Amino acid sequence: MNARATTLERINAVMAETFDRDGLRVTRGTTASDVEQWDSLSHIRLILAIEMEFGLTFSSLEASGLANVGELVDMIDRKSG
Amino acid sequence: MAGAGPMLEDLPWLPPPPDGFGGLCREAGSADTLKRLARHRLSLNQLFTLAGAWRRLDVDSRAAAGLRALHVGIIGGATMVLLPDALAASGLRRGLELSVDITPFGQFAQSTLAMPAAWARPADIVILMLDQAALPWCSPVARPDSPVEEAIASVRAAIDDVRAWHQGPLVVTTLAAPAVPFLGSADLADATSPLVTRREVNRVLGALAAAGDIQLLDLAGLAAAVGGERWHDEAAWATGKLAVAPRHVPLFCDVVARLLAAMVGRMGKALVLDLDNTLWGGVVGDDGVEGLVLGPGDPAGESFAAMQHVVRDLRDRGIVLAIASKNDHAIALDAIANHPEMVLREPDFAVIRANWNDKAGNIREIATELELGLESLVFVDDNPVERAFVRDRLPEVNVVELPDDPALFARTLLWSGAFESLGLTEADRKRADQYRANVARRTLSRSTVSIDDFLVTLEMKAEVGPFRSVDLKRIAQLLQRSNQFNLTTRRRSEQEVAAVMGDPGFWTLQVRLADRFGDNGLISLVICAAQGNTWRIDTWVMSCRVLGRRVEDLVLDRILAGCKAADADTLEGVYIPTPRNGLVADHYRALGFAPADAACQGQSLAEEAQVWRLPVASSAPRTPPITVVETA
Repeated sequence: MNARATTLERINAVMAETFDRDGLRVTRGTTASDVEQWDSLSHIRLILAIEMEFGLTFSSLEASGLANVGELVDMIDRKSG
Repeated sequence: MAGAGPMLEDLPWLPPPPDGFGGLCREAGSADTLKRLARHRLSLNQLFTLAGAWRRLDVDSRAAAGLRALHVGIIGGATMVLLPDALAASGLRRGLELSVDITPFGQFAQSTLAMPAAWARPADIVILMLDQAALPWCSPVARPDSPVEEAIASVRAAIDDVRAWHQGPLVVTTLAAPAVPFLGSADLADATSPLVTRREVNRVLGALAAAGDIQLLDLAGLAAAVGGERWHDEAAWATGKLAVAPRHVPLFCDVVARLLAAMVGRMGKALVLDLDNTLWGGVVGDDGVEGLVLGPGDPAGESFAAMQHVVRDLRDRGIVLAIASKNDHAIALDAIANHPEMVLREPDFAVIRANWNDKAGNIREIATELELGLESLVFVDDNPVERAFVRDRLPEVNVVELPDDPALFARTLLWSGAFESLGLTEADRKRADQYRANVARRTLSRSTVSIDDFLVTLEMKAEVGPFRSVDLKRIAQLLQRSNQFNLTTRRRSEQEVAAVMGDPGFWTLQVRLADRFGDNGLISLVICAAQGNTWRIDTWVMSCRVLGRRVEDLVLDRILAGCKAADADTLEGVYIPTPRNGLVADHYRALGFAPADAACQGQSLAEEAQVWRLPVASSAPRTPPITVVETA
């Protein structure tokens, strides 16, 4: 992954892999209900894949309760400092 | 991450997946392609992608893939939704087509009493996952309410309940040590501590397995190897009540798959080993037996000795050993017989193939001689190009990925699970000797497969040009060190090389070679002496590491181009035999040179020297699949 890619771009790549859909595009406003394959099972894989992509770990409080992709981006940026 | 090298959860015994893995899975139209893709270190997402692609294959393709179909039922109390797909994909790695039924969260007791209602059909193999949701006293952080006897009774009852409706093989997990101390260092001394409870339950499970009642899935050992702190993921438990934390699912599933494969007889039976830099440090043909790094007193020597001890242990438990090495046969045998620190000796190996043929052909012959299928062969070689070649040519063979550090060879080989065993028998202990005795001493026709298709995939790039002053030290080192691929064994010092570079009567060539696995550095050198219209190849050396890559074709093309530019019409090659350079005795004949009479040449040559001649005008370029970059 290009180090200069934005957090949202990197999340898009992770989501395409997680949901096995090439070319999937999400925006800050996207929620789980907007993506057909985004259920509780794939959410677990999504969180793990994001942790590995960004080299960080979410706490039990952080992994749940995100309203949309924008909040995920902000949390990653905050944790990556 | 960890200082000790790659971690278990990264599956370091498998190669990294190719770029664009998801697309390759989606486009794969054949079971063989997906089986190849399975043999990489796949993340959880990649396992799911692979499992999805496998499901989309038509039934006939799947049936023709030669996999052993197994229906597995997993009974546990925790959430196991990640396991069916991840396990199905991991099974492809081990020759299994797995379909997996699981039980819902919190229904352990009901699920043991009768075949779970959600299961499509009876399972061939049942796995009983003893976790904290199954048995409340298994919590990794809380002290059990019940004493040891009751804990053991609850496990026995669960096994007996399953046995009432499932007569096939039953796998039971062992209990990982608690994540946290109870008293502290005194836990082993306290009969009520969580640590003692687990040890006692595991002891009972071990006895049941020894009696043949169950098979063990040793999660206690796995958790200890991963590290209790990482294995017990309280955040993952709090979030999803997951039986196995997501980051450990690929490792867990690989361990389950290797166990299931062993239960149906699909495990490694023979270990095929490289020699140079795999069983000892150094290249015996160049460094000599006395120059090998092996044994105490040197970090690398210790590591190679440890590797040999591990290999001997495998032999002692029935794994047949063989050697596939690019070496002169006599030199390899000399090292095995006479190096004082060798742990393995010639009688330990059922077959020794030390020659200059390609390794895929040698491995195929080894399989034939041992009368074993290629899928029961495991190949270990430090050289990534050899590993890639064998994977490409013989996808059935289990080629173990090795880290760069020889200190980690033994660990990686053992954790690869290539030789998963359900228990030792007397026959196991004698098998290696029997195979050795059985190997017929017949001569087999050497398979000569064209390797250009494979060479293209290496993406080789050569930097060629005259000797450069900045490389002077390396040039002199290569001239001093090369013994095997060395046509004349003329040892020029740095000063002498510098003199050649300054003399217009000489033409020089140095070759650096890189490929997709990395930079091989300076690997070949040539010095030509111009004598009128004739060029004589005074020196030609090459590193044996790049044998079989057609570098010599590239070098000859460059020499001929040099001849033409200088209007030379005849090229002469000289071969001076030594005890070590038998490898290149036929070098010039193979390149199209014809024998010439040495005596009629002006320059005095040693008596044993052989002169070969090639007319420049009639030689067509050989153009091997190597990209050439000119350096000044």
